[in-house]
Amino acid sequence: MGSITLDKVEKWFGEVQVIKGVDLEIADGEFIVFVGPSGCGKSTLLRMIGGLEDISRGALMIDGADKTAAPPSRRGLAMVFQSYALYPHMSVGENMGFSLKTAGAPKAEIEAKVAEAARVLKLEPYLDRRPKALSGGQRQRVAIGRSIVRDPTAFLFDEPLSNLDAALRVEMRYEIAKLHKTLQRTMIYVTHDQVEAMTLADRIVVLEFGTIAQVGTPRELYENPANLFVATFIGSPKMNILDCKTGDGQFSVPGGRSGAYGGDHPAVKLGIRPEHIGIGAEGEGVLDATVDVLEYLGADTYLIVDAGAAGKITVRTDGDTPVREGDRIGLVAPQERLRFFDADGLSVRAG
Amino acid sequence: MDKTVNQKAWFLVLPVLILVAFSAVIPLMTVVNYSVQDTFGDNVFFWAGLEWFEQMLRDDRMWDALGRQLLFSGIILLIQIPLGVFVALNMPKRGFWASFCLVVMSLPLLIPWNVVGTIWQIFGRVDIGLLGYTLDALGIDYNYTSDPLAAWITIIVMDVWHWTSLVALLAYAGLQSIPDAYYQAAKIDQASRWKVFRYIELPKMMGVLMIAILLRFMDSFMIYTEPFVVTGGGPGSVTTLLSIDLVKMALGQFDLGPAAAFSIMYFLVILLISWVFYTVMTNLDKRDG
Repeated sequence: MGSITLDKVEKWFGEVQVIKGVDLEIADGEFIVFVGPSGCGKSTLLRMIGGLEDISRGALMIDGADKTAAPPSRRGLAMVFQSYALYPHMSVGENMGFSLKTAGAPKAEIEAKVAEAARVLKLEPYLDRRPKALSGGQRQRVAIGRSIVRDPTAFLFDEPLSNLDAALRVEMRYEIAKLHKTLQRTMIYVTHDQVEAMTLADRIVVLEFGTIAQVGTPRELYENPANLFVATFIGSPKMNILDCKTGDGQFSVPGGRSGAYGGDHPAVKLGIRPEHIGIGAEGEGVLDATVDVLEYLGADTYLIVDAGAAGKITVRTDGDTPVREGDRIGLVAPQERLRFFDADGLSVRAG
Repeated sequence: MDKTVNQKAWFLVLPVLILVAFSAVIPLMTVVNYSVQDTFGDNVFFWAGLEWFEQMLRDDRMWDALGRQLLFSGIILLIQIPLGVFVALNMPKRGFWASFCLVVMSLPLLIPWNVVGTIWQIFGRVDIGLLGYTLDALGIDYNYTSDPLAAWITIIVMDVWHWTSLVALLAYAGLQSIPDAYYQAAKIDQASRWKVFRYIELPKMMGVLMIAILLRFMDSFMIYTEPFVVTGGGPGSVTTLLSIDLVKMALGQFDLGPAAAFSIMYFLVILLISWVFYTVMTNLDKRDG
């Protein structure tokens, strides 16, 4: 009942095109995360689905019905805002019941639904308080409660956790994940935080300048990024990208050694994640490098190594690594972990 | 522990004390002085006690003026506050036209009060005034110099023209401080235009509206120049508001004692009403913060 389909959706602000034709099928009950750098259009796209921005071209179907031009209230969606947007002059309970009140629901029904939402979100002790008497996390819960009360077809979240501190963010992330399990409703969630995206999403939509760079499960995006943008955007620390040359079933890295190449057409970039690089003796692996900086993080240590012509490379290794700054090491990269990209920045598949 | 005694600090407050003494306390005390004394000329004064206050309180003249004054302030508040809010709600939110509206609306506020009076005095004249002539030509019997109702309508319309902008500007500022997210949340909550006004805009505007009401009340309660220029308090004394009456008494009849008693009571009424407003406002602030 909560499927959403975007068909070649575009958004123009005057002469400027901010959403450049987005096709997307969202299944009922799916948790979809829109992620991308600021200005990529992820919030705009969400607002277009919610009806807060007009859809310039293309079509939007919700649950099989064309809702391209429907007003927000007719789309059956609920939205949670980054700033919560709780009405400051109403109590928590009135805030949560407001949409039902405007719809003219009977008082008993409003009270029952508000009580149920308050129970789910553990807001019962706060129902009579004003929003300003609540902490950030509680306010966010009220904002979510307000959307639950509406019993929507789908939930839209616009960077809901950005205003919370780090510890609360982790807690609320967990609560939203649990909520999705309980309610089994379609959720579309916008964030610039890839940890939120990776942990919450059934599928992630990576947006770049108003187009979809890739759609896939978190694992697909991490393991098989479709292009350089997704490769460097997903994963922290980000994927190392090196120049490379290919030919005759071999690839070579400047200042380094060569290895087998199985791509169906030539590649010009090689990507390898920091956690997939092994440390060997000088002369082993693809490249030799000098350890430049050692970043000790407890469980992990990040090595920033200088590989000469290949540039700086980040290596993620154990917290108790014996390597010291200034050491000469060999970088060992398993063949199956290497990702190749062609001149257009697109991933090269095995031929 | 001994308190540090630093008498030198008094010297730092001294300039302010002197300034306030000359600007407020001394002039006020001369009024108090007149209100409790009587004179028969030659700068010789006799103690009169509270005689002038008693006389004024028994005199219908002050009560009539006070009645007219309250009626005037009440009517202009009832018109200007809703009208100002209505104008503010319909002003463009941003862009060139927003600035344009702000400038155009500020214009009446920048005109000196006696000029405003003169403008309306001429505007309403039946012989040469655009408004008066037009109404007359349409067959409407309009003459603010002889018809009490016409005189009242003229000074009220003039005050509305002069000051509604102030209310609109304050309300506009209040509206501008409402984040877009509230409107979007209201859209999702399918709130009607009226509900958006009632539950979002009005509560958010309450603070500035209270200030607008207080300012407009005090200003209208002390109004002198504009109605004096237009009607001179007439016809008869139907538009003789408090300050016009006061000036008539003090400078026209040179009844310094009663006039002084009158002005002190006038001052106390304004003080009292302002205090009530202030208390209500701070309570509102505490509630909604």
